[in-house]
Amino acid sequence: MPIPAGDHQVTITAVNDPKTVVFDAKVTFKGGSAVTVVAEGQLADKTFAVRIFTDDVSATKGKARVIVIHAIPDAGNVDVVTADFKTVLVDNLPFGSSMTLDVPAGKYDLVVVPHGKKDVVFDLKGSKLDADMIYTLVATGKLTGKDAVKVKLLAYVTLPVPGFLPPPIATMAPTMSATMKATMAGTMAATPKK
Amino acid sequence: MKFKSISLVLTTALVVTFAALSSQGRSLTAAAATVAPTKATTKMATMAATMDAATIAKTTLLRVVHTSPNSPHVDV
Repeated sequence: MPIPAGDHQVTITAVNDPKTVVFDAKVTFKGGSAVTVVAEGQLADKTFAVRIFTDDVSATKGKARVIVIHAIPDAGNVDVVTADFKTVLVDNLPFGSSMTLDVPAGKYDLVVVPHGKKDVVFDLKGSKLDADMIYTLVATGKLTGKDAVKVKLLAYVTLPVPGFLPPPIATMAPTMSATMKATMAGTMAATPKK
Repeated sequence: MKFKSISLVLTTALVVTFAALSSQGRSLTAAAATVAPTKATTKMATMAATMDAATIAKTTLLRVVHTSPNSPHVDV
């Protein structure tokens, strides 16, 4: 949704309980930008954090754009690779980070694996990526502990908005968490499945 | 302190609840690896595409995603 750019005091509370504040900070939203605010982790184990990613919604020039966000707090770094493990599209992405890549439209056989391994976490074989669409994939869940939650990959699809500028390369994802990680934005080459 | 649902409140009287926005996220599986944009996102992008440069300079496009595990209940 569009909001006025500028400073906003962002407060997250328990529902119907304004006294239970879990996040309260001044956040500056830049004009001409698109952001995804991700609430991740848990209060119980003190991994809860609000992380702000600046999205690239600029013109895609006939390509498909994929934004991958790693939001599984107790998972290690991950790779996104072709199912034959020959091409690495996203390399060594840590929790709390995102990566953006523009690829030719087409069908892809992709899998998400722990960094450097072949144990498939998410199987995305047959993914069809259309031209001039932006696919934001958010990996969520929790792997360990009594409160483990099955990991899921959420998909959000949006359209590019010409006039909105891409974020600078290698920006940081601001967060109130002490575990701030770099957000990597860049363009990588990939070839659709024939 | 455990919460079952949370809402985001901005000082400009803008209230965004996670349910409204996170409902756009669809679980992606091998069988359904292709998804289409929702009407809401298409409408927003179409509207944003009509903005002039001056309006764009004063506008941020905001999306909120609630991924906090074990906090599944949200309000709209």
